[in-house]
Amino acid sequence: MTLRGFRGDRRWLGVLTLVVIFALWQLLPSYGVLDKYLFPPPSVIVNDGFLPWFERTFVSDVLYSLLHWATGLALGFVAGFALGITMGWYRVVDSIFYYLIELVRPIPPIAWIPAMIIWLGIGHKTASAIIFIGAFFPVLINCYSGARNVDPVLIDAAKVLGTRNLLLKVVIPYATPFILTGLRIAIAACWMCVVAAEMFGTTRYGLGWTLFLAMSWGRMDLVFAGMITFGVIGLVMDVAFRRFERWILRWKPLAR
Amino acid sequence: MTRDANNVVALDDVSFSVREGEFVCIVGPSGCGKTTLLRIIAGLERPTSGSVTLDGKPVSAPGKDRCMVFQEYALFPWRTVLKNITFGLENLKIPKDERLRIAKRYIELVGLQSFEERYPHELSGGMRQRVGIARALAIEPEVLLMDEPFGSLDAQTRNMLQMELLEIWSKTQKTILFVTHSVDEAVFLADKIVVLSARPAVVKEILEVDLSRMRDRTSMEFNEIRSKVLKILQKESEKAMELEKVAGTQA
Repeated sequence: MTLRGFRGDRRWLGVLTLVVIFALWQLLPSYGVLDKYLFPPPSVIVNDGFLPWFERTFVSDVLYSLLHWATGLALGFVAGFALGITMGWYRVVDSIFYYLIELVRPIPPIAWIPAMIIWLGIGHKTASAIIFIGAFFPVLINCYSGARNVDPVLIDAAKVLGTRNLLLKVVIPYATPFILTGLRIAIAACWMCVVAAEMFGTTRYGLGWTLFLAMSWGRMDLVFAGMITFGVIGLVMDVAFRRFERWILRWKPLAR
Repeated sequence: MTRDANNVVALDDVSFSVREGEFVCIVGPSGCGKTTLLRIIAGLERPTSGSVTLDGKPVSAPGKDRCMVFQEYALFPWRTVLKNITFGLENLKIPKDERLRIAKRYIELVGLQSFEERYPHELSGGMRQRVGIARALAIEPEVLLMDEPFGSLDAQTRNMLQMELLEIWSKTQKTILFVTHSVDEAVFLADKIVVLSARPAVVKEILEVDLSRMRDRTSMEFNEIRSKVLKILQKESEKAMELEKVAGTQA
């Protein structure tokens, strides 16, 4: 789900909104209307927040966060995909795992943090484990409904055409749009889990940990710098993934 | 053969034989089990009793000697026209360039040369069914099973595809079993029309259509056969409705 935006000639309206907001944000604290400490203007965020951070740990923070994100996402995707597809396709597997999944699924990934810290200690493993949970369930659920909803006539067609491996030749290709939806949700969910996992101190690295430090130091410029970094990277991920998804699903008519 | 599911007998005593290279149409009142019959022959369903034999050998599972064309086309939407047609060939472990060669031959047969790289959603209904036919023919089955293949097409496209199918049939010499609810279509296409009764279906009548092709739908002989089949079907439909009424009052 995203906003549609950018409708033809009225594009400038949206840009205008941004300009106004940034101008107010820059000007109001300087004129004392907003508290300079609580709402540092963009210029201060850049000069005092970003620039010194760039010189110190910015790159490694980003890389560590991406490392936690990618590890958790990749493992969660593989596990969710494997179980989701088999549960969707084989009724027996569905029966075996159904209640278990429905029972564990409502536990928010973040609620696992204390247990994971106690089990795995502090480190990359723990952060990735939280993010794994963030990826696992959305991927599982979507792969499941994809495999469950395969058009029966395509199964028949594949059978009369001599297919031995229905899973590989029909079920997974059919489920691809569902799988990608699951992956897109997982990408965003995992990025949220990165913030939470790192802020709770599962590791001493990353953007989330920096955000936590900035808070404890009372450095609002750095807090904003961290938030903005999370936002920009999240946006890039989403846009890039949409491109990728559109390319993979080029066989599908565009939904109107 | 017979087939019953949940104690509803769909097919009762349906037996007939088909010669090699023959074009047989199966007609019957709606819901009589025509599709079930074809699915049993395809090996997609099993009869409760009875058997299907091909060249003396019983069939019980899908096999490369038979292939089916579906009313809903059943093309794989993620595959291009070309890849849809190579689908069955991949399963036969035919090497890639050989697959492409065969596929292109059948694409040409159905006249879709310039659409090889298109995806199904970019094609019209008639073009999709041409792909469905080419895909089935590509594995070179002896028998082509067609389940109301032109049922969701408009009248003109339908007539055009009927003519194309006859051409393809005479070029490839396949045996064709063609289920339809259109008597007109059956008389236009078939060497032999098998008329089924209302459920539970039995073979009501087998008619040889002894007209030369291409047949003229407006000719007297054509319409004689047509009205003969229609009369049988009319009677069967009435019977089916009465049975439904009886079932209604009992429930």
